[in-house]
Amino acid sequence: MQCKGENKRNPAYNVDPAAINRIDYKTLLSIYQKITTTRCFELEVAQAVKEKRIPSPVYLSLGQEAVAAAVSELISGYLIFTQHRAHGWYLDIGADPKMLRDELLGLPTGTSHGRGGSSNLQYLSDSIYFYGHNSLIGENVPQAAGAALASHQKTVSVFGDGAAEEDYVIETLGFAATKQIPMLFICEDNGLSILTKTNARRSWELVDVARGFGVEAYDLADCPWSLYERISQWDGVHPMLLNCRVCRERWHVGIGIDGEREWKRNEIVREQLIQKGLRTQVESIEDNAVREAAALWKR
Amino acid sequence: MEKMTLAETIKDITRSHLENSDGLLFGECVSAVGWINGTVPDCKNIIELPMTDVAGADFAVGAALMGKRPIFVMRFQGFFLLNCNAIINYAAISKELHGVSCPIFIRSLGIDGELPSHSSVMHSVAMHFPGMRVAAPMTPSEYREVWNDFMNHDDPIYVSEHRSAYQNVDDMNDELVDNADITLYGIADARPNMLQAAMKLRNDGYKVNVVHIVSLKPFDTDSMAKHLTASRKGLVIDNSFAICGAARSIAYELAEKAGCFIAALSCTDHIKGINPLGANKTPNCDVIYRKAIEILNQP
Repeated sequence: MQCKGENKRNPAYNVDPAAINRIDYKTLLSIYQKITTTRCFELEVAQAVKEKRIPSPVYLSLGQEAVAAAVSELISGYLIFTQHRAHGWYLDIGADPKMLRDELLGLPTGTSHGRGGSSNLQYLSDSIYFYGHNSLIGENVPQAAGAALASHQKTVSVFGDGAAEEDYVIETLGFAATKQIPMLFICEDNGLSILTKTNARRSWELVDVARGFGVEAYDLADCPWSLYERISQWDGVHPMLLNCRVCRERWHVGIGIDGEREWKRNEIVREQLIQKGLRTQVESIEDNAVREAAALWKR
Repeated sequence: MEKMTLAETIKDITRSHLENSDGLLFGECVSAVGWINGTVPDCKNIIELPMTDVAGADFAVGAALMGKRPIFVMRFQGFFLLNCNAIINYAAISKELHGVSCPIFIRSLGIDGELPSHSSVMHSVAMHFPGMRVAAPMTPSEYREVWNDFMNHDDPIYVSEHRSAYQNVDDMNDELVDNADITLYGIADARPNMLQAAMKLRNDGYKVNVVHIVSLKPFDTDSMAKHLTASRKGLVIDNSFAICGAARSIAYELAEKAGCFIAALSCTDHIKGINPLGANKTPNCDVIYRKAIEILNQP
């Protein structure tokens, strides 16, 4: 059966190929550094799982790194409510990687004293407001709306295409539109709920639902440059939703691989930067990321 | 000065919180027909929720994370089953898991003789979960105590109200006698019935202690068990369902502490309802009296 959304699953979907040319080099490289850092961290996590050093389930960000990398460039000081698959978000907003490592290892020095694990991350400091999740998909979205409403602070909520079907998310879109809450809805749409494809679960598109509520909404592939531009244009006053088509690289939970990714955003980004003459910087970023991740995990 | 009713007291506390402390109140149909039995003032900081009994409490969670100490109102206790996830799985665990408190004042209204889905009393469910405080105030002074307790702690509190108590004005004090034959412990709207039953027992010549339980969790077992020193016989009466209910739980704690048998009396293991013959209401005076006589006749 042809899914309404399936033809939208391609790396160029609603992407502006010229966006990269309008972003300064420093930002381009910062985004690539985040993508690379997350990948290296996650590969170390996978290794640690293989070695049975991690005692609890892990939800890897591998394959989906670009969204957090791009959005995190523009949300400094925002309230952030992510979901179970949030290692990338955690790292990209500048939270302490050692605490994330320790949380995964089940240590008391972890982000939640080693009691929550991969899907319950949090990090609160003087400048980072990354609120803890409880592993129930979608529930972070109304919590984000409540926080934004109460504090009048710009807020980001991150969820997946499965969570988008939860009452929590649908209701919050309506609530945010009604109350005009300054909130970004970021859906990391990998087309899978565990391994059940979107077309087996629903016939509608999230952007249509959001627009029906009066929320400004965009549907696009996970090109970090287009995402960066889109967020840059947000007015910071009214709610906005981005449905970002991503490719999950590993199992829903765990380190296994279901098959070849539909596209490899990290490789596309790498090639784009090299074409812009940034090979030296790209390779330096990669070397550093590999070295730092290895040092962090001390293999 | 004329004394306030319980309803007026709740309204007064709420107004002060919303107007002077910049608190928030969340609820569905707050301003409709009588402002929740005259317990909510018409003032600022009231958030009318959409009819979302799944996500509604999560908006309050978000506000609680922002330090707003929100009041969250459920018109019927039966609706706790729909709303409880945010409270039990986030607000109540956040402090222990993440070290971030999430205090919410949860007003849950009880009623007898309503629809089966509406009439159930849920404070026993709330008691079951770590991180929750639970109270059942029936008088103005008790309500103020419970509110002050909430403001002096940082836990969510489930406040089991009963519509039959809203016109209460006077305190209900413990009635303790020397060498009591039996100690009756009452919870919520079982308390006025307990007072009637105690009167009847006294008319039969028995010496009866009457103890009012307001804080169900934490429950002050040490103080409460002292009343059993002489009587060695006790009965806990509650308005929720019997199995895994508050009365049995508290009776067990008292019995363990005092080293004697304590009985429990609650609504039976049948649905509540609107038909007076099958309403399964709170144990009335006659039911309590008969159960007490049964206990008194045991060796």
